[in-house]
Amino acid sequence: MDISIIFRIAAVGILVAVLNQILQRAGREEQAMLTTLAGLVVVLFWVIQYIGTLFETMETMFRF
Amino acid sequence: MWLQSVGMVLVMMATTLTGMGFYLKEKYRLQDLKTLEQAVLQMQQQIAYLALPLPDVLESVSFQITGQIGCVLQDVANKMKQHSKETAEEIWESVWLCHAKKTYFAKEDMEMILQFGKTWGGWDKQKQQNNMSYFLRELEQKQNMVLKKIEKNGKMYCGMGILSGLILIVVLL
Repeated sequence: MDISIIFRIAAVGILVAVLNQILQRAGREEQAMLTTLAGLVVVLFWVIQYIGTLFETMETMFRF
Repeated sequence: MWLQSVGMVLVMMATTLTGMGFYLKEKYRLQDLKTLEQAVLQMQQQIAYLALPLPDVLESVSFQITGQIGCVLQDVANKMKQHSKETAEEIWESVWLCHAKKTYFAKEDMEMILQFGKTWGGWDKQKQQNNMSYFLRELEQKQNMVLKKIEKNGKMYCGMGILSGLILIVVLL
């Protein structure tokens, strides 16, 4: 696992938080929520393969 | 690596300029509304104090107003002087619809402008003056609305442009 994924997730998190604040202050709560959801989906998309690998590793360990 | 840097710069420029474009569109819309207000005010004064016919008033005002609105008024004046079978209302509507895309007016602004032209022809001087006063009040209200919109959303558009560029860069890298 490359450590850069952590920095990318952190960057997306910060940017989504700032965008969320800007949109909420402009009175666009729905777009703010959609932006947060979009950021969450992107990060989950990156992380899902590692979660899959984790479950496979755990399964292999319990089979021994 | 340099290709990635060039790509990043291009993405940032594109998104930032898009954000600024939305902001400037509202700013130029306000400018166009102010110019139109000045033009109508001058028309009102010339009709009141000089008692000139409408084509002459429009031509005179078009020389004093710069930009696209000056061109529109010049076109209307020229068409009116041709004495074709069209009414003043039809000439006003056809010229404005022709030039609409060259201005920054929104759809509701155009509706207001076309509605103003519907009252021309067949009215006396006093009614024309009252109509122009009413249109000037509508323009003032519209300008206040657009100014509030710019104050509320201006920074949002610029900020969103920059931030969406950064998000795209992080996601694509």
